[in-house]
Amino acid sequence: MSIDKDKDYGTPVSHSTDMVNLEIDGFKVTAPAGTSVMRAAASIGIDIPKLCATDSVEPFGSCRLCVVQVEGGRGLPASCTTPIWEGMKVVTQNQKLADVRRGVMELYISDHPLDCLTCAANGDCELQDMAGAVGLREVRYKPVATHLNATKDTTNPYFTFDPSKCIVCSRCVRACEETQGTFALTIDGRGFDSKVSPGQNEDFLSSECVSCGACVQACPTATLMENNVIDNGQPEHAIITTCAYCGVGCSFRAEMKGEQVIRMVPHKDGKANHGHSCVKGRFAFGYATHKDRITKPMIRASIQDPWKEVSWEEAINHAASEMKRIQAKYGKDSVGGATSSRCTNEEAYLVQKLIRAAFGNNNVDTCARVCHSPTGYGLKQTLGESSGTQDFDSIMKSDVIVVMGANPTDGHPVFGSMMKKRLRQGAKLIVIDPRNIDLVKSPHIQSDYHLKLHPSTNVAVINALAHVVVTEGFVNENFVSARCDMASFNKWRTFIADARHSPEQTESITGIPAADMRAAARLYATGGNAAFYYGLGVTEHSQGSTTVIGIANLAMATGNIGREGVGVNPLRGQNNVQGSCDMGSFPHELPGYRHVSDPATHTLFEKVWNTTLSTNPGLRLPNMFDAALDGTYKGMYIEGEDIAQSDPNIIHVHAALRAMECVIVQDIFLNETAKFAHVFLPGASFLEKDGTFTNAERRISPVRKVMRPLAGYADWEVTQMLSNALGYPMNYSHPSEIMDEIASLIPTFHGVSYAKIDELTSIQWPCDENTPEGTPVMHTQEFMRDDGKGLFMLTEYVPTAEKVTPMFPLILTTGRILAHYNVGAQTRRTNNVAWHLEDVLEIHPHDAEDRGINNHDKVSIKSRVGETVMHALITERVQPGVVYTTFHHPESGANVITTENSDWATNCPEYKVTAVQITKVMQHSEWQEGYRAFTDNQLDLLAQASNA
Amino acid sequence: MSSNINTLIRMANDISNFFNADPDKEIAAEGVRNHIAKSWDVRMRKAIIDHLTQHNGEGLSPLAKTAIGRITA
Repeated sequence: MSIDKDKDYGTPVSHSTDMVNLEIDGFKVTAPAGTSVMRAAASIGIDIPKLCATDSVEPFGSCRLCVVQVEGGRGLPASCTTPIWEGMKVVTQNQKLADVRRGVMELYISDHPLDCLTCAANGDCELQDMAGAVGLREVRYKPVATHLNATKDTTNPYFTFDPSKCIVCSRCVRACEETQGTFALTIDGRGFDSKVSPGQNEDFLSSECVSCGACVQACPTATLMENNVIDNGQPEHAIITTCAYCGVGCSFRAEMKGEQVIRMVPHKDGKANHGHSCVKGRFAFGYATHKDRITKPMIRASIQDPWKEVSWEEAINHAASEMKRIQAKYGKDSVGGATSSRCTNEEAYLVQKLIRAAFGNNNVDTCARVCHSPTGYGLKQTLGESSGTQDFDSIMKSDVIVVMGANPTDGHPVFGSMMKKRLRQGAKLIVIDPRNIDLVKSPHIQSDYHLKLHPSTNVAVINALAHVVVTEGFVNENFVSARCDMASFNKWRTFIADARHSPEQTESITGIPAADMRAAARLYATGGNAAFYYGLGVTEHSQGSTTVIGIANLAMATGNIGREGVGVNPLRGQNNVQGSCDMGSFPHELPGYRHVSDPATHTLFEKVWNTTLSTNPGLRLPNMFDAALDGTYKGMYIEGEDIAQSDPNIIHVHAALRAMECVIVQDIFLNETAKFAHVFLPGASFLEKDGTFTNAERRISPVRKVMRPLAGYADWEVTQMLSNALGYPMNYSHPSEIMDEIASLIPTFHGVSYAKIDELTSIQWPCDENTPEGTPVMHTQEFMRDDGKGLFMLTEYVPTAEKVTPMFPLILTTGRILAHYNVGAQTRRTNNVAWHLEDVLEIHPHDAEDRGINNHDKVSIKSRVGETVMHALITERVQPGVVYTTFHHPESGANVITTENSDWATNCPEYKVTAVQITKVMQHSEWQEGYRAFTDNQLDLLAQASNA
Repeated sequence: MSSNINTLIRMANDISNFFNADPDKEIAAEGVRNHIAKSWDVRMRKAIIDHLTQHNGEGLSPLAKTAIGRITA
């Protein structure tokens, strides 16, 4: 292992197919047109000295260190800004060039601290490297004024800005603009006074900076430096792995010192992120070694008892005997479990296998139940496969981008940056969202249409758009007739053409002016390549599946599917939510989305797993809770999911957990669910195990162990031990063997193996005999339904049962924020709390004024099912009548107030629509007081475990 | 799951509301039946069938009643 850095070619790659021949220092070179001289030279191993150039941003030509001579040309052009041309002859090294470069470096160093031996960047400093490269031996200038005493900015918790070391190369400013798209940095002042400035001369933490780390990555000196490197020194080896936060699945270099992660650096060759990162993946990994990690197995008889630390053997045997006891007493179907979208594919596969084979039933579910299960259903029905249709890079070919119920700059920030890059290039943008998300208006981004719908009216909106497509003649008849089921299309065409779906007739339902709706539909249908991107604002509704189906209908009707730049793209929430679904985590489907009753599938799995399997669908998570309260569901094995915080109406969930006789939680922390557990099996973070994650674009990426598991075992090993104790043998020696079994059972994984993943760095399924290197864009020739035809389905708008009334006059909708991830169990244990210490309630100024509420006042949020209290944030991001909050902190109790209304097809909860009343209060809610007492008690019972 | 029968009734009606869009009510009923048969656990199916037979499906929509009448636990 070594720390080998990604090679920096100095300027971005050219994708031109026209090739140019030239000569550099006498060597023949061929490169794409548009390539810089610097990059062409680097491609044959000639590294021209540089400081202001790096291949992640466009060339700038300011440092003048990269000057070259061109035969027949005048002067000394900068090689970074000079494109190659046919027959060009370049000289990169001679005495004249050396003198110029040495002179440039002498000037730089005259105003730079000469503290290399004690500098954090020692050994990883381009300025230091360039001084060596040009042979600088003395600095003749005795400066009158310098920047050596400039004050450091240490406000960002993850990196330090030391302007005394800044050479004003603008790489950080350009990275913020071009890579991240935030435009938080600028060069303030002129000449000698020039300096990098966050915002309007603010500090980093107070500015618009989103702490993505692009500036730190781009900095060639120690000016912007990770605090971890300042504190611990340079890393000595690096291992490529995949981020365990959102569904973008960024590739990272875990840069290590022994088993200590020094920094996570976005991998330049990562196909999902192309060298970019967000604050979570880049910096918020400290939770993995947080003091709250539990590394000893524990058991207890009841949740009123103190925990008792026991050996792995005792914990596993106890868990197995309890499950067997429950099944003997209450029946085979009285237990079940949940796989985790935060764990690897191999681990999700093993948990569902344990449940089906060792428990002998199909009571397995996963957190996708509460996020993208409608995607799985809707896209399977219409397109034939439960996944998005494109790769992320596809967006760079889009002409029209529709963002519906998603907030990519917060929820999927690295993809959000790519989207913003395409928008800055001129793509049109339609935002369908009740809130003013950042994409509606941010630096150099302005949506063409913001369809600010009333919450819960998604289906009416999609139908209105489709109505315009059908009635104004925008149907792509050739595509539909060639690729789709015509009987279903004709029925749908008649249905959607009915006047009740028109923008005019739905205006009172959706709140969207008919003219805007028509204009947006015309843009989508006629603006070139049009792509839909959607999130939980689509799925987490009582008609979530209907909306997904409606989006698929719209894409097929306009022919916007089956090629680059178009498609239907769910932005998946968690790192492996796609993968956990692929692996058979739903109670009605075996791995590969095949029904448990399908005879051929059933026979195949019984043969390979060497056991008898149930053909009956099992319980979904909300059904498990109901069954627990009804006394027919008594035991549960939960890996890496925090249902006691993340699921709706948690008072109901907590009651269900209390009603069970054995709850086994496998997690890295004593999460909210573990407070109701009887067995705790310590889990491993993504840094402690091997495996794979599958991101939102179906990309299977490697997860690699960079440190030993703190508790001794990776999660797949724990599941295997439990299965063996239950009497169903599992004997895998490495996750690669589990993947081999997966590949043998799932047709779309037939070509996947660890060797193939290592060779290609990642693979997008389907990967089989016909597509040995994977499939970036799906449905290019035919849809994946049995007959190959896309199916249109009817999507009647059905109003939600959750109505506003005088008693509950506002609609609460929930979502996420950039700094935190899901229930916050990880990010709350990092310095990300600097940006978001608590969940707050966003309320429009009019609604706040009506209630006498001021900013930061404590307010009660009361729904039909519960009440909680938060601080108010008055903002016009929400429209009148709508309030918004996040659910990253358990004490906020956001899910105390959400209801059990759910999607008709999948029971995905309707998190996005809860009728509430808001009132100013002085104290916390009764639930919050109870929660505090319960949590204090549980932490005390935990403390007694280690004391014992 | 008798105490949860209201939840099951709501779920069955929600499913029916989707399939009811089809003008051919035979296709609609088959859609509801198929969806429940393929996604509900045995105890849930049994509970809703019992509710139909013992309480005349009180609270269920006509389409839901038709579909549930065709389901076997």
